[in-house]
Amino acid sequence: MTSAALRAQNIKKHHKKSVRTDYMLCAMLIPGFIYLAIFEFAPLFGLVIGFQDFKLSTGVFHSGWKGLDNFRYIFTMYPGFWNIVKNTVEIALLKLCFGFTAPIVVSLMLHEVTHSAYKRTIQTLVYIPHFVSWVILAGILRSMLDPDNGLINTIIKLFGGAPVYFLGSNTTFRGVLVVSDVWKGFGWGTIIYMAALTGIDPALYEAATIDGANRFQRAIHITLPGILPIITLNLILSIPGILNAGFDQIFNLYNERVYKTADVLDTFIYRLGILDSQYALSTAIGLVKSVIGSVLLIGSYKFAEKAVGYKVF
Amino acid sequence: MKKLLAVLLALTMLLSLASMAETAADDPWFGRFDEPVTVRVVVNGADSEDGSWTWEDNEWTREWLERFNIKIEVMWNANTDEAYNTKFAMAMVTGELPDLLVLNQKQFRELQAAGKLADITDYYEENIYPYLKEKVIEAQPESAQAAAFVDGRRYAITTSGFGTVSRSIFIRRDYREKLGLEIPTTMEELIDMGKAFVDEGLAKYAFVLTDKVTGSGYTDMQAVCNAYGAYPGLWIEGEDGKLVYSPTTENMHTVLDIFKDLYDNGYIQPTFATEVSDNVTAYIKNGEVGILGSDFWVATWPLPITYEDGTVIDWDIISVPRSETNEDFHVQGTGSAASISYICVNAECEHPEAVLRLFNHTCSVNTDPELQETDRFHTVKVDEETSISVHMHNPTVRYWSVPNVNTLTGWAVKEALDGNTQYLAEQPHYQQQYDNVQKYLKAVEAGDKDAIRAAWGSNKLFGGVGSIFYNFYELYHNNLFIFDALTEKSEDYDRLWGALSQYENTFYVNYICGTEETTFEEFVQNWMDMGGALLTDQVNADR
Amino acid sequence: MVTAEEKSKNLVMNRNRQIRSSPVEKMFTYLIYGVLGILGASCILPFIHLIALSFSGSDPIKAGIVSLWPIEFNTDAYKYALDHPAFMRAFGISVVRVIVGVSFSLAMLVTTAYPLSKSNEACPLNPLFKALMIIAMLTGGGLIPMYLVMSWLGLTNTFWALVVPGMLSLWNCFMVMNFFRNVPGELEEAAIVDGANSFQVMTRVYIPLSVPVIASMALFTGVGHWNDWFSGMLYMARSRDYPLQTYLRQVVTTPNFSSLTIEEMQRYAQINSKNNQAAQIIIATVPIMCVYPFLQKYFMTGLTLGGVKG
Repeated sequence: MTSAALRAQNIKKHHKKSVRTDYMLCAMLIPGFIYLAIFEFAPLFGLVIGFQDFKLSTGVFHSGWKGLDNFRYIFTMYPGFWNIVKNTVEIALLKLCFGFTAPIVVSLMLHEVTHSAYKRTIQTLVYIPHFVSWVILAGILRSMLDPDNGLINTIIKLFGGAPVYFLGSNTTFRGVLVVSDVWKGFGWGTIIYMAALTGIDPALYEAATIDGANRFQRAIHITLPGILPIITLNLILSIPGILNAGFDQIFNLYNERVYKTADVLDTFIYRLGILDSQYALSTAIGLVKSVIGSVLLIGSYKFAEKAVGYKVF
Repeated sequence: MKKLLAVLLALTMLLSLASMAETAADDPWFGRFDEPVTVRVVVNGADSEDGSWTWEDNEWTREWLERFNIKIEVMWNANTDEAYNTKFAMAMVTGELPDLLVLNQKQFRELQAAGKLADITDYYEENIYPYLKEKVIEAQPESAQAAAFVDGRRYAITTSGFGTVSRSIFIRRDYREKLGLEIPTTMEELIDMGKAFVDEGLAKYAFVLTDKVTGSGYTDMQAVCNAYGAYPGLWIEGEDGKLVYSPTTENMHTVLDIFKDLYDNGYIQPTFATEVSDNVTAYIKNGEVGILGSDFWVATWPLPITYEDGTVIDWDIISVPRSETNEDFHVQGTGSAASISYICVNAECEHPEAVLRLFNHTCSVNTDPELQETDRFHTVKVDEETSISVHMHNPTVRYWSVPNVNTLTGWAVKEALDGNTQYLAEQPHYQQQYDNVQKYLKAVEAGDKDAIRAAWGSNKLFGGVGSIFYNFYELYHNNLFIFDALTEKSEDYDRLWGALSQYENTFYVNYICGTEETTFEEFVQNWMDMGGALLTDQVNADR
Repeated sequence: MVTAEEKSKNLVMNRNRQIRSSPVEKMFTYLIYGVLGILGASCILPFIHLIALSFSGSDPIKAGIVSLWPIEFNTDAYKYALDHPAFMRAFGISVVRVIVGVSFSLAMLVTTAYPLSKSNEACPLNPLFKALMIIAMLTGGGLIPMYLVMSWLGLTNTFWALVVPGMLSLWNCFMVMNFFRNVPGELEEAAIVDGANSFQVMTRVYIPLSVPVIASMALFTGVGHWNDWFSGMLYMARSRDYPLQTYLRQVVTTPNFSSLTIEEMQRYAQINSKNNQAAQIIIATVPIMCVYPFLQKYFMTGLTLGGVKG
């Protein structure tokens, strides 16, 4: 055993013996407790609205109880509700599919780049979209996709094609959502994989090269397995997001022409609760959404713990 | 003794002073408060871009402070409708409401039931300026007035927004003359003309549509709908005397097929119905469209910006023509008994009469011939070129006029141009617009291109026969306006309408673009299944 | 003994040798370089296009012929934005928001994450706090209850509503906590021997060693504040106090035409011309582009050490 390790063990022992309650540490948690109480737990009382015949005249404290009527109404009667659920899941799945694989592929490619200045430049460039808000990206997309004088359609017309109205058609709108979402996130997504890739033992490559493996073989047999745990983990952890199709993005981009394929739970909750003043109904949907989200979250984290031995908390 | 006298003298002086103050305060309509009174408001409008005025400090608030001793406190304002609606929803939930409230029917009912609105029955009798009572508020249809009362007590001043205003058809005269065409008398002829403009290479599109295919007012489907007897957004009386939602009738089907055909053949711009389509202004400016079915204001903006060599490109303006097949032709007016706007006072407001005083002032300076000060409170001239729209700076309410003031102005100005000037004195608005038309005529005489351009819109709006509002007056006179027959929105209506109208609009757009497989019959069936049938039963309950 | 660095150097040399030897692999390398180049370009070209638009005249824009280089070069759009008190004010408010918001968040984050990184014996409140955090992450009261709480606190219609509610990001807290756990214990021991209390240990030992994660968190929180538009709309009383993104929403979206008056239409047409739009978007994006390359080097260590628990 090296001397350093011995010392560490000694310190650990010493530490264990001398552990006692440190009140200063406890005091440091107090602001955190206050924050949780006010901003995380106090609003939870508002959830009772979902079970009420909520009226402004009677408020949260005196409105009559409706039991599960609000929920029943939404699930069985509300026009178009199930189409919205379908949209949400479909859009989220599409985004997951492409948004999940793109960073992996790009990381593997970046890993093959030996010219370090080139690599760094590319990395800097691909991170950029992550930092730009959807308000601004929506402005950029509108301008670029404009069928009359947008850049993309000017190019299409140049090659003799007919201009496509990407943001106004039910067939292309989801494509725009997915592509722009992947575009915004793929660069940022590579960070975690790039970090994992640097952790792969270089000796493995050396050995493989001596064994005559070419680059593809090395990528498949060494690089990919090296980051497989983190890929699995990422996949598992992204499952709870299945009901979040991206409020900011859709809200800033959608319009009446594409409601049929683009209206999702979050945009619906906003319109119902704020613009139609259906407080009880919108709270009820929000509640259902967060219950499903919680179940998925706990489930997937438990799964992550079992499958790859990763503890989140 | 002398001392006593002096004291007495002083006392009498004080008393007389007090009584003088009292007489001012006695004026129940425009009196000044002895103590400063604060009225809290919320504003649906952005703060000025250049900071030249604020909602607290502008022509109106300065006058109110000086004259009534009333100070305005702006609780919040919002720069978009979306932001305003969000903030107002929150204000209703938290109960942090302003003293002066402008509400819709649903909000009015909720807040009234919650006891948040002041009973202003007595204040109304006492403090509303009689001219406004008689000529503005009580000149409205019965149904609009009745909405202000709950159990015989008045909780609001209501305005129906019922207006004898509809769409007009604008036709580029140079295009029409180039093709040697007459002004169309039927909708079929008009559509053919639109196609001809495109086919002959004059325009790019026959029609353009904005983001809201119905109800935008800029250029929407409404004009064509009306020609074929379809009325977007209106409940109308069917043949059996029952109310029916007009867009679900066969007439709407006809209209949608017409638009579908136009779209398929490239006569409508591909971006219609979405946000980017506000390129409409550019289409007009670039001469890419020669026919518009629009609201009246298009004549003041953006039409006068289409000019060549300084000469405004002229547009012929006609009322919506009927279709050859339509026997029972009407155009739809604005407003409905169910979309009344309610001006209310917060129950906690200490001086409801102060709120009413602001209302008196806002409306009378723009309406009453005796008290009018439109040059101070409507449009203020800075110099020949620029003027400030001071009426837009009012943080309380947009001013109300006598009902149908624009349509009646169309009539009064026409009469005056015919030599019967005696009617002009009845409303400041009549005189104002007559002056504007005169300005145009003078500019034409002098051949001053800039002046012509500046007054061009006014002439199109009010310049006698063939002007927009005289056209409306004729329709009104011939009883050709049709209004929304819906009087009462049920709770189900409030709950379902958002989803139903969204489905309706989405269907229209997709039907026209051809991206919708649903047929019109299936659309009507779906609409009924989604709750339309229930609402139809409910609105017909009392019939 | 061969160090890891030497090893990897050898490896790179080996790989380079390998590349030189096979033409197929050479092709493959070019392909990868090319694809990555295109991807990198795709991330920057939209912004260059926008810059070109912002410097172009309105006629070429309308004709759709501006791509990556301005046509009819002019700086009117920037003059318009910079001469515009409302725009500049919104910009300033966003800057202040980022500075205040980031300082508050970091202070809160570090003081909360530090005790959590210690053993349950040292800080017996840890299990309770973590349990509460997990519950909080799983639930949410929604917009209206949150607004009620803010109103009850008297924070609505004040600047503080923009920075206080998101002050402690629970997820970030876990990240920082995990990072602290990876700091070697020897240094702490040494500090304790010198007589430092736990707060001093945190400020003198842990914080200087945790620059990567703290810098990353600062950037995330800052970008979050800079890009948020919704809370500005919800909580600010006056439209003149809107932060930049809330202000920009009015510029980049279309209002409801039916409710506009003629005067509003004219104003709208002016502020929404395409090159003005482009210029305002560019100005709003520049600060982020300036700051983030400097913090970029911290991402990898900051995020991975914090995210994966040993």
